Amino acid sequence: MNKHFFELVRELAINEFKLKYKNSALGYVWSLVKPLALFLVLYLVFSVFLRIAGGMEYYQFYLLLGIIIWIFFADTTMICMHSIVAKGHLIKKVKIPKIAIILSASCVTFITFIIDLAVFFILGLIFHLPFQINLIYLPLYILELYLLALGIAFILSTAYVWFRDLDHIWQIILQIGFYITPIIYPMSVLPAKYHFYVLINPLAQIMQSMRSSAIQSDIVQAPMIWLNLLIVLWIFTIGILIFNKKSKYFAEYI
Amino acid sequence: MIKLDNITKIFHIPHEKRDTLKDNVVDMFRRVSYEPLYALQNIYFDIMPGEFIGIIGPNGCGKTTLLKIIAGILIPSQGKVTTKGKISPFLELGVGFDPNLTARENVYQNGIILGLSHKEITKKFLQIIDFSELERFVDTRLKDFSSGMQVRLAFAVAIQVNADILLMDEVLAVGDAKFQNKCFKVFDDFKKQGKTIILVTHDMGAVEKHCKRAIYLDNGRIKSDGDPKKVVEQYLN
Repeated sequence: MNKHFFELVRELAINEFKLKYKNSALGYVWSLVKPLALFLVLYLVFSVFLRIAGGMEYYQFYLLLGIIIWIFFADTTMICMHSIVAKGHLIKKVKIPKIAIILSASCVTFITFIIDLAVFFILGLIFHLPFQINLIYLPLYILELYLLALGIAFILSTAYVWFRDLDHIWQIILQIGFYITPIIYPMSVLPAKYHFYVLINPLAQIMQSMRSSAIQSDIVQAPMIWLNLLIVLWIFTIGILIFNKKSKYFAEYI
Repeated sequence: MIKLDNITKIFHIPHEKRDTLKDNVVDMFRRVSYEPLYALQNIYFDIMPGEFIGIIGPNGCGKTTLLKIIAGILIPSQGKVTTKGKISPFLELGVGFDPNLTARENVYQNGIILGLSHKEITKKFLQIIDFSELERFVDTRLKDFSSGMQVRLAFAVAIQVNADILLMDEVLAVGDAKFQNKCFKVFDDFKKQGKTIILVTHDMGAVEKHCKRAIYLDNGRIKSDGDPKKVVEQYLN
């Protein structure tokens, strides 16, 4: 079962990856273009025209890393939410572990994310970013981010089977989330008393922590990191429990 | 061995469709009324190893629901299914086939979905291609195949699944006569190996010719169960 489960996830992920770029001339390059295009637009608007960066050093990298993390989070939750219904033809006809569908869908966005990150660090090396010692925690933050996205994906994909409005609702939440999370603005533009409320969002904390390993921006305090880690583990556990409890009824209600 | 003990399956069919946001907001405080649909009612039967069973009945009588419950895809509302031996987890051919993938890629994806390992598929790959008679089209995309070719490929993969109990829902409807004969030869081999086959079909000739036992379902209930000739006769009248 375990080895086969792994093969199933791998096979579904590989084919999803292949299908995503079949019939497109540039293929994989598109997934690099997406964050870069968003980066260019936001950079021009917020740094050049509106000057929100406040003269922050390495603002371009601050923004780029934020966008890469955000796109991973938004894509993973959105694609996984639809994945169960999209694979309905499978679920209705074969008995397969449904969790494999979520895992394979998230694998595709995760691989894209890792490649985007690699591009970021290569650019960072070229432009001599002041990499910090807490770079060693980077894999842990990536894992935390993956668990967060996965946990939310479990909840969303389950609810989406019964409640298709969630598609629109989640899009609106993501739009709000884009501005609640410090993606385009540095924390320093906010009064210090609001920092706590901004950072109690795991996504914001992970973003700031990952940035602090490559760019000297404010370091997130340890208690805040632990608190957010607890939130992430809580979301992930709840997600898995809900998914396991409801997934046996998917075939009937899709 | 399969033992169905008082299986009932109820589907709840909503009287009104409420899928969009507008419907949900407008009707938020009105309760949706559901009509219970008894897809299966108090089904009892035992199937012994090595039996070749045909399930017949009009459309909507619960044949597919029954197979889905045996396969574990649906959960019965009441009753208990006891099984011994490995059940094939699928009831249709070619699940997970993607028209944009090649025959080779589809064989791997389909095989793994049906429970084969990557290694097993590689080992049996030539055999699969040989059986489906598609040697020349291994790297052609599935969308360029005719439906007959697709069924041949799907069947070739499905028979590689090492299950003790095979569930087949209308699998042979598309293939030509030559291919159907080939399929029944495979079924006969399976019978000799002591495998159980449950076949849902509208092909009465095949039921009379190949099955050892037939079950006639009507409106979610078993109308008759036993000798294929008698059961088919009862169904046709």
